[in-house]
Amino acid sequence: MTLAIKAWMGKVRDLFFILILLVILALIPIFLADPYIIHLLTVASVYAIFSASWDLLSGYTGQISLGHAVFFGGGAYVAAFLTMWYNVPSPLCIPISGAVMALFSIIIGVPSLRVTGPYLTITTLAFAETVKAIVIAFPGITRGEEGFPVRAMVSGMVPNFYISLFLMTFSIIVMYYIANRRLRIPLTAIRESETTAQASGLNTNKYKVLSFAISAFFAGMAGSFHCYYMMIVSPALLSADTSFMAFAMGVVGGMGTIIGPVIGAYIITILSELLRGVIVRAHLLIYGIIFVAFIMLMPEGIIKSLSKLIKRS
Amino acid sequence: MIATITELIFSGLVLGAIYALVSVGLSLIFGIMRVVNLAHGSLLVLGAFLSYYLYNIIIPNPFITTILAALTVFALGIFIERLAIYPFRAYEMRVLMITFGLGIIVEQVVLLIGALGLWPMYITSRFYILGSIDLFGIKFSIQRLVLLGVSTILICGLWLFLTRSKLGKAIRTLAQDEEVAMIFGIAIERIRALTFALSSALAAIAGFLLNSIYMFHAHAGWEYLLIALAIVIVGGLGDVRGTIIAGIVLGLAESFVGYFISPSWRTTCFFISILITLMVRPSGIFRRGKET
Repeated sequence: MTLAIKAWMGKVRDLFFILILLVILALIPIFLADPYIIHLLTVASVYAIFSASWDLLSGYTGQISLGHAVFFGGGAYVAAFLTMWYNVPSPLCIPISGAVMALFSIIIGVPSLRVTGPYLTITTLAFAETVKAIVIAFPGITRGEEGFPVRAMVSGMVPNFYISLFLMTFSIIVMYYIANRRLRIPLTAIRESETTAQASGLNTNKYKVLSFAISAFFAGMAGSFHCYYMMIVSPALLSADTSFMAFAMGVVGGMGTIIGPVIGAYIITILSELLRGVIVRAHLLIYGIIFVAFIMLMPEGIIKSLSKLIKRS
Repeated sequence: MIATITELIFSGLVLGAIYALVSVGLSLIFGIMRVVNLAHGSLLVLGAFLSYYLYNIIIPNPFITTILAALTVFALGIFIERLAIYPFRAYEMRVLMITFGLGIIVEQVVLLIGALGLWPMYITSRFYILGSIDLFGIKFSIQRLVLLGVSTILICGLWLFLTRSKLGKAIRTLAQDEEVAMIFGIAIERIRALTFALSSALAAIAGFLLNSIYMFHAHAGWEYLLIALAIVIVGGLGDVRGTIIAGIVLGLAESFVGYFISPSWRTTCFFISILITLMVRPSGIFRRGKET
């Protein structure tokens, strides 16, 4: 009984802590009117969704995807086409492009049932490169390498910041609920040992495809907001570099936690901006170095290492 | 029509030989370390850029600069293997991620140096020979003949090295069974570093050769990584002979797809070959003997 109360208290404390962080984030534009900082935080929120969606797939089920940019960039392209050709209102486009990406993920999700480990990683990486090549191959539709401009959803830094914050909070809560409550057991069972999971009567195929679809849905949403915010789509969104961002943020924050990638996204975005003064035009280089250093020295990520430290003391 | 097809086969063979050179390294690394080196493509591009740069500042002779570039990448390969891969050899996925990160780092360094103005953003190789030989009314460009010759010599040399020399035999023993190799007194650590460096250097040379066919940007590495991965998967991971065959077959395929459909569909063609192989025979289409 007391244990249950303690656990419950712990949860309440965690929730309270997260709530305070969110309120602080939401209040930032009021106290700090620096457009540059607001821009950074907006970008970090978008990447937080993207990276957390990657984590739902790769961190929980252990199917390391290196082609997650497909869903991010794909969502951006879908939203851009919907707005620029069919004049669909932007707020509607965001969930629509997420849903389209969830359907699209079946193309890669179903073959992934047969391949595991490094083969799956290679397949996803190759898939992303292929989609990028196809997008470039139709310059009549996609304007090739340059991409095309997109109408913004709302103008102004601060409204965009609040939209991104709202989207981020919403997506993270939903993903956290799905990953840690609804599907925690099947997903982690697949990660620990797929054969054992199958032997215990778990329909692993269903959950693998499902995790692909959910993950693609949120990545697509993040991508579509990104295109409205940046007001452009280009094949760079589909490149290995973009997949790498989700990947690096997830690893730095801690895989298999959903919250970890969010923290990783903020840390990496802000850190790389701080270091931008030292080396110009090299934020991905800095990401790369931080990422490799983390995998070598602290593969569990910040969250788990910190909580271990707290427990020990 | 026959002339066109002969030309297509010829250019496909040239591409295929170079691709085989790229992929053999990847396959060797997998055989020895059970690791897919995702930095391979970036190292290839780095080799091409280094060669271009050395041509401009030191000596305008493409062969010497390529050898110098390959040596630099060789040294870098030893460095990477010792520092970033060997200590984590027990964790397969971690090593995979590290090589991916290293690929990004190398790519970004190439971009950064380009931004500093040491080399342009897009390069084409400084190696061209004009002219062609007419044979039965079909033109064979001398440059492509040289490319084919060089890559064939390199592949044959590598093959002889692996099958005849003591070191090559050690490499193959290690690929088959690490414990047995250890019992026979093979210096595993040294062989691992050497193999990694050797295949990186091969990638660098192949980068230079490819660069005289295609233009390179710092980002090009991922595309060539994908091509090499497709070849390695079709040929069977770790199987040198299968990889060489697969390289030539896929080079021919690219040449035909490029002519009859469009050159921009080549990535798709490689991706489809990956998917088909993984569906039909995951251990490799051209693998000899039983499936493992």
